[in-house]
Amino acid sequence: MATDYEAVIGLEIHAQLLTASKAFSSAPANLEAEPNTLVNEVCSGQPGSLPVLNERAVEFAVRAGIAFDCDIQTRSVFARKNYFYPDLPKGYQISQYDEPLCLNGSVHFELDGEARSVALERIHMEEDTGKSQHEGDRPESLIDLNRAGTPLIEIVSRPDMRSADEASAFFKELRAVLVAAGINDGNLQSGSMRCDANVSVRPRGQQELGTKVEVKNLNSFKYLRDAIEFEIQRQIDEIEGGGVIYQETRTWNEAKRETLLLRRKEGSADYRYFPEPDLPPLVVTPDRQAEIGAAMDAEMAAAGRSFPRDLRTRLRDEVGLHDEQMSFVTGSHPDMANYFDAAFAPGTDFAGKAKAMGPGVVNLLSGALGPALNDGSADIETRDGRPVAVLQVKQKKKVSEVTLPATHFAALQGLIDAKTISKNIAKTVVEHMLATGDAPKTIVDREGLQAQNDEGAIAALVDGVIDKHPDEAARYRGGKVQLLGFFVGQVMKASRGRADAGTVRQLLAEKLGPVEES
Amino acid sequence: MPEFTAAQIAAAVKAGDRTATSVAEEALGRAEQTSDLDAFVHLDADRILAQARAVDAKIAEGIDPGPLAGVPVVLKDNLLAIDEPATCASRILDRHVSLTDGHAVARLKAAGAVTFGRANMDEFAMGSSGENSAVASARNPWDRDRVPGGSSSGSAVAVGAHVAPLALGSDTGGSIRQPAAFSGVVGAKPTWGRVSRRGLIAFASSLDQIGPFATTVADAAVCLEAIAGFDAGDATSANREVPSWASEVGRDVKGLRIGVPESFFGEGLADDVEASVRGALNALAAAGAELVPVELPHAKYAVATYYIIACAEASSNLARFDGVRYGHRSKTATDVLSMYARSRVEGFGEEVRRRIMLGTYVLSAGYYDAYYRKAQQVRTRFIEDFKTAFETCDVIASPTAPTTAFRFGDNADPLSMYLADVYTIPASLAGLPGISVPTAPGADGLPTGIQFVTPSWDEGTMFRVAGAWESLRGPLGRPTHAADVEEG
Amino acid sequence: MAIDRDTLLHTAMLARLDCASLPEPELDALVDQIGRIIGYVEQLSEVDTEGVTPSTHPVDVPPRLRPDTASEPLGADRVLANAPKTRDARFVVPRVVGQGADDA
Repeated sequence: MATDYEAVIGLEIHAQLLTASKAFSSAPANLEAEPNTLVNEVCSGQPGSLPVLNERAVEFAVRAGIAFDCDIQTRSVFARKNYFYPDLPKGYQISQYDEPLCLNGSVHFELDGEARSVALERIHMEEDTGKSQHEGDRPESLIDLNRAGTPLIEIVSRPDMRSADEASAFFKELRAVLVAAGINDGNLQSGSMRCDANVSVRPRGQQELGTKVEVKNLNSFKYLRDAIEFEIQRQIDEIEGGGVIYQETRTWNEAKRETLLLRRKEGSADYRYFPEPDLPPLVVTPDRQAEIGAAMDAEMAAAGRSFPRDLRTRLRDEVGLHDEQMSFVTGSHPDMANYFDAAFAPGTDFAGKAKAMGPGVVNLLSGALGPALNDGSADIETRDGRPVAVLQVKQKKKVSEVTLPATHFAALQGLIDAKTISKNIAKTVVEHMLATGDAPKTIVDREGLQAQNDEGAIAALVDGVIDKHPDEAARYRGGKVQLLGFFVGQVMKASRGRADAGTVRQLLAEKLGPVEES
Repeated sequence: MPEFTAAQIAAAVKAGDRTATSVAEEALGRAEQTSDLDAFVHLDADRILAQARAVDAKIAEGIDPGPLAGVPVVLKDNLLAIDEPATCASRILDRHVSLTDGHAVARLKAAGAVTFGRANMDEFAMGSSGENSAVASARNPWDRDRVPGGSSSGSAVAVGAHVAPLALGSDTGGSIRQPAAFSGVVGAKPTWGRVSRRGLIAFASSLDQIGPFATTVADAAVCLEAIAGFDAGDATSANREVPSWASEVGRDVKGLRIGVPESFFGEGLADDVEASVRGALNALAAAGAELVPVELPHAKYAVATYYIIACAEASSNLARFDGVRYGHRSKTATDVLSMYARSRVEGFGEEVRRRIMLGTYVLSAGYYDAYYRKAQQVRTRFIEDFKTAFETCDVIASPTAPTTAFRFGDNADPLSMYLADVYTIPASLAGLPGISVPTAPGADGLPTGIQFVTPSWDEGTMFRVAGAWESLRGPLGRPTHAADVEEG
Repeated sequence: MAIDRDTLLHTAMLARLDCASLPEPELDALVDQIGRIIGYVEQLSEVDTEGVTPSTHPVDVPPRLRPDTASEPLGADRVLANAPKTRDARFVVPRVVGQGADDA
């Protein structure tokens, strides 16, 4: 009978901080530029150069500590991590070792609708390395130091995760938190946020951990999940087959859909850490931490960003969305939540009405924009400081752009609630909105789509239709009750969909008269 | 030498009695005369004269160039000066050109000084004799067969041989003070953090400081004033006002308490040096100072503590010399590993390699606590020792070095060379300012020096007692191999 | 306690100094010299340092931060000016394998 194995997973994330200059020098940071043009004597490790710490990098690192409920240390110490690599200009990286900026903390996320939490070990500050590139088979590598010295935080989780799905959900949340906090752009492809996974397996119930394998190069959520799943199974297969798991570093190879050995570690590397003599200790007092927290909150509020957990709480508890609606607002697009909020923003026609109208608006958004967001023909952008939906619309071989403010959807819901239009007609209005970007009221007036609520007018239409179809009327009275549907259809057509179907049905039944008993 | 001090040159240049250009030309002439002393690794006459002409141009426009107007100041070859070579007397940097001015050098230039050549040194400042230079060793201006001291060998020689009135050196365990004593000049190391280390090619970050060589204490004070002060580009640079140290020179020593650590006068100290230094102490006492016995209980551990810390930091600071972005790259490199390993073995001399290995060892896994961390703890003890000693005295005096200048090859064993720093190292470990001032010559007429060490940030008292001794001592003789200085 | 040759060679490897190719007598001399120096510095174990905080700096260094303003970089030409080998405004090295740290 096969052994039941448990996977033990920890993640290590390196996230660049969105500062204007580098961690320890005033060279420009976080820009795309020609090679070695964002470099000064400090970040190229010239002899005689010295580091000085960037205060904004500290502020951003503290934001991360606050966002993850860490114990932020008033005093922390920089240390040199010594190793040789061509993209490491000084032959050491300035990092933090046994006295890091943040200890503990946790990430709260949801998995399959359940609330989960994974603890963090620590968050510390360090600097990024340069980049080495090679061309094809040439026996050389080329070093570009533009990235060298960019401030980073390293976030280390406890090995508390037990599945690839959990790890992926954890990482999604962590990323969203850093983006919401305004300290990282969340771009996995460009490498401004990088994730490595440490994976081991052990027989369920065993206390001792198995040998862990590090998996690198996980630059998408999909690769992360696939790689971890593969690695778990690889280790189980290996053990079941009588083999041994070596402590090694592997990378995910998407083409082969497997993890491949990068290098084997015989014992851990000797980095010869010692406290950085060129820097004083970092001091961030509790008062300063509070100041940083308040500034972060103010900035987020002004920019309309919230932490994903706060957003979920608000959408669920205040607006009353259910899971599927939540999923759409938080998952269909990184800015969908902002877009949704913009529909009810202060100063708009429906300001403050999110609770009453929110669920309805989400349904409209989901129906109208869901497919287009999926196929890439729609996006949400910020223009003039407001989020707008931007659609690429094909009209007679020409592609033009349509923009839709969120308030249009609130207005549309308003028309439905006021019964100015029927639910059916709303679909037509949406089609027009997507094609023209016009406001719903404008469309309704222009196309004459107002609901026909006048009973007298409907009655006149009903009379007219009955007169036009005497045979069907007779057959209906003779017992073919299903013909009522035919008559409803005819009246709806005559009213161009504007009549209320219920009223039509009721009037028809009255006017057609009793059906013969059979 | 009357016409030779920095103060007098600056005054004459500002008054229009001399031109900076003529001063520079004379200095170049004297450098030529004494070239067999190998004080310089590099000397660019054109660049020197261009600087001098610029100073003259300023004066012609009525602009005051600064307190060191037209004064030639020799730079140790580990101090960056923009577009000039900076080799640290090492093969690994033999073609390196600085991309920037160091902070102290920039201050010198802003004070109107004319930076004068690249001075010879022990490779990467690792040495106490000048013999570890990858080019020829500099020679003592009093006896060509003897070492001038190190690591700032060329700086000491340039001033000692009267090529220039001022030089900058660097001091990590005594590398300004000891060559000053061996070569018969004044050499001062400030409090750690007093002078920015930006632009000093690092040896041991928590010990390195830049300081002046001069023929008079007053000149040393003026030079240090010019280069000291806060630098936002050095995170360990002290944000403290720079006092007027020059005004301390000439004050008397009445009531000043001079601490004398008797353990520094024991075994290993040469008789002639002891006699000379005690003579100085007696003269100071006769002039009104009080001699007070003090103890530095951990002194015997100074050398061991220092070498662990210095080598550890050096092993890290020198990791950047890897042949990738600058410096020597081995022609036999086939892959990254051999590029590193061969470039570094080809480029670094024996002593540098030894210290890098020692430093790597004491930081490596399993040894860190027993060696590096332990040494940092003993360092704390040194800091405490000095604090206690300074409760009963204002300045601590001792010989600068245990002997006069030795002959080339006399201290071939690395360990015995290290032990020559025994008197200068304690102040380095505690970050305290220290100065060496020549005392009466020792046997064979060779220079000796007395060292004065004061509490941190109290360079003022240091210059005061140094200046007082200098005036009590009176003039010294001329070195045998000094250049001829034109009179008038 | 002297250092043994294997430890010395391992240390040299960590420091990227190619000592393995030194002639035997030189290597022996190096082992001896380093061994004696280590033997000398071991005397620190005699010192009582119970409860003593290690000093990274010899004087107190107050915290120091720099404002986040970018300044003019050196420019690729100057950055590369002292390089042994360059191409396309980048430093050229023999091909690197792997991804950085852990080559210690």
